[in-house]
Amino acid sequence: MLKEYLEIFRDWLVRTLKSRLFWVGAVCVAFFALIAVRLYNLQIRDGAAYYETFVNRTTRTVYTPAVRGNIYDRNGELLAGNEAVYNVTFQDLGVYDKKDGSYNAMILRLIRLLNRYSVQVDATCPVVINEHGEYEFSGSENEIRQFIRDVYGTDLINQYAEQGVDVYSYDCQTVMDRLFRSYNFQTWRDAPEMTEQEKLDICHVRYAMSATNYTRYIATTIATDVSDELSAAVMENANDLQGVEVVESTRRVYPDSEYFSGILGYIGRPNTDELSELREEDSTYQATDYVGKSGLEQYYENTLSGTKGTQVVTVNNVGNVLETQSTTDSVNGNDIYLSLDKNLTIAGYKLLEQRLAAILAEKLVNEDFTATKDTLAEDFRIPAKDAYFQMINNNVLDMTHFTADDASDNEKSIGKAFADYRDVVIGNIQEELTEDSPTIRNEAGDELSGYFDFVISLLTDRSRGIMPTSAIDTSDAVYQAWQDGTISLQEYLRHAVEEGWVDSGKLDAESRYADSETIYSLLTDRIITLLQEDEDFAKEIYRAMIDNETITGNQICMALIDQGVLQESDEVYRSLQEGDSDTAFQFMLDKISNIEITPAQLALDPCSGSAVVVDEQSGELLAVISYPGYDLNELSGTVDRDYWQKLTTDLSSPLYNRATQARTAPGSTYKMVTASAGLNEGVITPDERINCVGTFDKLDHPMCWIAREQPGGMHGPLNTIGALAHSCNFYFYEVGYRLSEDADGNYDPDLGIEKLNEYAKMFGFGEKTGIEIPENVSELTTEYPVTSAIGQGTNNFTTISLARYVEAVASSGNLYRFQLLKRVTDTNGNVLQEETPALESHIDFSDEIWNVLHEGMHEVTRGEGSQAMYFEDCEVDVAGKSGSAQENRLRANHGMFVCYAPYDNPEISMSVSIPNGYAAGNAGLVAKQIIRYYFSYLSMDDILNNSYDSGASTSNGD
Amino acid sequence: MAEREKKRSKYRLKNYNFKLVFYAVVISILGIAVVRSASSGETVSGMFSTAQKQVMAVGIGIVLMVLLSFIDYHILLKYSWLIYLLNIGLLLYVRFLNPYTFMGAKRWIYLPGFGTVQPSEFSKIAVALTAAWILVRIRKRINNVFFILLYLLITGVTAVLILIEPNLSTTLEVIWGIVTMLFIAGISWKWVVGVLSTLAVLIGLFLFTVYQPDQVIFQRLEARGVIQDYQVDRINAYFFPEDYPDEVYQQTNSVLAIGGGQLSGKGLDTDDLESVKNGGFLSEEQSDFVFAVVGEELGFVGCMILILLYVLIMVEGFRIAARSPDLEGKVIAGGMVSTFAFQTFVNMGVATMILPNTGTPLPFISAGMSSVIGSYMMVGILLNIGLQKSRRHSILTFYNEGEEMALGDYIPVQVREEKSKETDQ
Repeated sequence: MLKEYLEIFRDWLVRTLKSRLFWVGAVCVAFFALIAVRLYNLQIRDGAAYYETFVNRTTRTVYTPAVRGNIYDRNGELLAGNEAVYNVTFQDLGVYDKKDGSYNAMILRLIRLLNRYSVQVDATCPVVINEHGEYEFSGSENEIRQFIRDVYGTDLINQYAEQGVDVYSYDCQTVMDRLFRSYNFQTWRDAPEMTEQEKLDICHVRYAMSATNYTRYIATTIATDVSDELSAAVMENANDLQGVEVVESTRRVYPDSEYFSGILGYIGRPNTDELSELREEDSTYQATDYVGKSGLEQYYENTLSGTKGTQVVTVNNVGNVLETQSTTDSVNGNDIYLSLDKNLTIAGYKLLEQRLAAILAEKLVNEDFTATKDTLAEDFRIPAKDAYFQMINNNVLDMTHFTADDASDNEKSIGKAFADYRDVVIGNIQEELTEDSPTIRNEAGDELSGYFDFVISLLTDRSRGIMPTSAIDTSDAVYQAWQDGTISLQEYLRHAVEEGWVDSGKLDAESRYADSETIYSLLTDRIITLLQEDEDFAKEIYRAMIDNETITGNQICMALIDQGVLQESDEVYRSLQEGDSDTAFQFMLDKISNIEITPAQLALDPCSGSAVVVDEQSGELLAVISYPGYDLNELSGTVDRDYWQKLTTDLSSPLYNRATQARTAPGSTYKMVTASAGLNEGVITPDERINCVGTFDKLDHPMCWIAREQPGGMHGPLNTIGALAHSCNFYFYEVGYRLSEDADGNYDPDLGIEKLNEYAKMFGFGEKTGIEIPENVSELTTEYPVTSAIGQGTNNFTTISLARYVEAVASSGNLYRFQLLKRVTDTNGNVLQEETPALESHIDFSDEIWNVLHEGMHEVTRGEGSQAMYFEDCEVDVAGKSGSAQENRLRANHGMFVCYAPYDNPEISMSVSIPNGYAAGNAGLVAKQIIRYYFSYLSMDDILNNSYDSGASTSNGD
Repeated sequence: MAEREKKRSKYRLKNYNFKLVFYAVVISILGIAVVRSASSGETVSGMFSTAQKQVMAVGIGIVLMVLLSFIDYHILLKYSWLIYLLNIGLLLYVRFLNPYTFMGAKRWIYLPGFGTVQPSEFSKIAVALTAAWILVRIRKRINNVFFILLYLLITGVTAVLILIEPNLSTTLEVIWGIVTMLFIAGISWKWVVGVLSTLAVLIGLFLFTVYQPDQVIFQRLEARGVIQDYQVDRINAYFFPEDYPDEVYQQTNSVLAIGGGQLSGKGLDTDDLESVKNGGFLSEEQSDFVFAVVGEELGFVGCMILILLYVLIMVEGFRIAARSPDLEGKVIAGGMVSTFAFQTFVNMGVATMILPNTGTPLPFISAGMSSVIGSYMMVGILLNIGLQKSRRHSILTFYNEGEEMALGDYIPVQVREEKSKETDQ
């Protein structure tokens, strides 16, 4: 029986194994088994984890921005705040079908509604429509590339590139056609008639929306700062505009920002680096946030920014919100109060500007002037032609407008004259480069040799790299000859080509292996094309034309009126038209004096200045002034590109903070350091008299300023107070010398430097002052103790560090760590934090030494003192010290002044610096008026109207 | 007339495989429910919603199934050359003449108001019939290279035409069918072992290429233009999915959906917002990725039930093949059923990410007229083969030259029983 069953089983098994269907079936069963195992793993073993992963993936936190805190001055005057604006935002809720065009139709409805209220959608594509109605790229090369990359996608671009097609070289129309296709213009059923601008606007909106393709819970702003009427209109049409909302937002505003530009900074979208840095502190930062980009806005970002509100939402695959899980409100940022006094700052800024204008007006002459190394400081003059040229050179006048259709006759005649002149100049240069008998550099005359130099600078320009300086062999004889001016430009360039200094690849890709002659001819061609396009070369030509009066000052002045820089009556215009060069000169002089043309616009010497005022009791900064300033409102939020361009090319460099970043030799303001060193080290006593005989009798015989100013001049015997009062260089040379003497009486400069720097450091030089904005460290001298003792050597100080120093002198030794922050309050005004400048150190000198310093400084402004003439009518008793420093023999001296007032019971300390300000007295005058304003002897009205006796200054005394 | 009577009388009700019909209908009902859920968010563009169309397809499918079940498959075989040509013609038409392109592929014939028809879904049946016709004729020389090539050539045309549509998954299914039918028809084990070992070597080589540092071989091949970089990306996306999130986006979300279904699922038509389907993260969730919805909404239990139903259909199919009265029937039934199983496996394998992404419908479940109707037609033909087993004369064809028998497990027993029954009568 069993055997039989076994037999049957065996039979069955054999048959089964032999059966083909069995094997096929087995494989199929194996398939399903595999799936079953996989499903077990997915759903049972790891099911919970998958569920979790998915939930995390679909839960998003949406942040609502917090209102940024305000910045106030010490009296609660607003310096930076927020203004409510209404923005139109759009969120793709998936209501409108993209393919059949109803999405586009809705956007078009919105655009037309906006246009009816004269509102344009924010441009996002770097494309504009030119006057011929054609599409044209507009924006930086990077932006355009990014745009094309977005339109075509990298895959397609690579694919095309393999076929040798460079998509990036496509013209704008082609790119736009492609964009229209991607934006469903082709499949748009019943598309209405549209203007090209409307089509472009649709693209602007859709391009902006593409950033949120997968994050549709984020609304995209498509028009900013719209009116209430428009808001109402949008709400009325809400049914036809689903997803469109008018949301209240804030815009950062900086009232009177010009005076605080270098301090407050501005806000903007963070770049990648900034974002990652911010995220280390606070992970809620996003690329679309506005964060502090510079100045205090950046420094106190954490305090000002507040806490964002959050909304936890569930989203679908494209980011549409399915449900909101929870919401928390945002918390406003904290307000900060600065120690600065807004009005004092404005007053100081105006006073500085007015003084600069006064110096310029005083020095402006209607004649030619060229400084040489031997020109005496008081003989420097500003030729009117320089002022005319600066109108073009500093882009006060728009050169390109001279040839515009709506240019005035005067402008057109300038433009025409320029074009003719340029053709001649370029023709000459071409001849010089190609003709057989080129002019030797030295024989070329100023104008032509200037062009030669310009040609070389074009070629060696790093960004062009046609003839990189690194490639030039400076030991080469021909190069030397060129430097000496004994050969022609042609000879030099031909040699450069032969020597391979010229990168022929930069001229023409095919010419790398061409012969010298070919390369040279390509080089000349390139030079000519470059000259024709180059803006700086155009300015060079204007320079020459104004110099040789091919373009007159009258024409320039008229152009200023033509272009609306100045508003004048027809009468004035006619008088300029008919008058001679003196008319133009008087006109210009008048405009400079009245500051209708500002020192910053002129950008001649002097065009800048700085002042720092400190509260003597507390060490608080009351004013940190840097002239010229700029308008932060233009930079905040989205940077106005034109304005930024204007700022960066402005010859007066407004972006540079003159109070904290600019450094100059301190000149005689340094003498209190030397005096304290000498007294404290015991190399002099307060009463010892040193006899100034004009020329110092040791080392290489440096002269006292008095001897330089009047041959044979001398101060005679002076004690410390007298030496400070007269700012006698001889006395301090001697102190510097004595400090350098070792125990055996041998002169050791290193010893002197060491001693001087030891005291300079006590007064806080050589380190940062602590202010919360970018500052440069004042550099200490490294050589020549004798000249260093009068603030020359390699001493290089900032205005703010001078203020800290004079504050330490005034307070008999209190060296503060500067800071602008005074108080932090929450949005309801509750004080969260109070700050006072920390006392960094106390300088421990005897009272006698302090008294000598104080008295010396006091004498400066009194009686026979070096600045007495400026202060004799000052209602406040001031102790001060002037300083002037010469850094460039061809330019005017720097003027500086440090002081404190009132002398008996100091309330404020101050430093003023006017680089290339001709004389220290100019800085002294600014200081005086600031003091008068502070002590209410001068009203703000008088300052704003420029109706006070500013005092003249021509003297050079030190 | 009498002849007809005689034939009809050969179909006995007890031989009608109602179990098979039952399984198919149950899966279809499940399918309609799942499709309805999967398409709940759709905007109806034509006259009918996807679920309604699915109901219609099932209706048409059942009618065609019943019809086919009463048409002797030998008649189909007789006209298999016509079916073959019709199939080739349709495939040529969709590829080269038909203007209808969808997602870069030309697979469909667009019938206004009705929807689209995908001829390749019916090719599977056409290929089974053609293959059977050929195999029966060459069965004595089945190990001859020339005849094998001839067989592969004639049937392979279909595969090539589907491949260039392009439709890789259906191509693979057709090739799978062609190969299994050759195997069922009794090709020598030597061939089988030879082909399998070659395959094993090739797979080994391929894996080496993939896991080789820096994929030097791919780089060389790419440099020579033998393969395109996007193809390498596809391959790598399968082996290293985390590096290619875009390539495996559909599958990643499908796995999330299935995994998240856990034991019992979120329920059909769930309005749970934390649903992959409701979040819109699934693509092709009514057709190629319908299994993701099954997994998410019916859970592990639902999936197992579905798989069980497929296995039952398969078992019935193979039983019919095994009991088939002749080699033709066995090859047709075996080929169709194995193709059916393979297709189901590919669909589920893609949805669960054990296979690279290639779209193929899940039989009876995925929305699509052609797929549903094709599946029912297959059942119809199977039913007929099941009905034909009483025809004795074809029993002779069970035997292959030189082999005792290459038949299914208990068929001889069955035959004996049949014989005895007849003698009893």
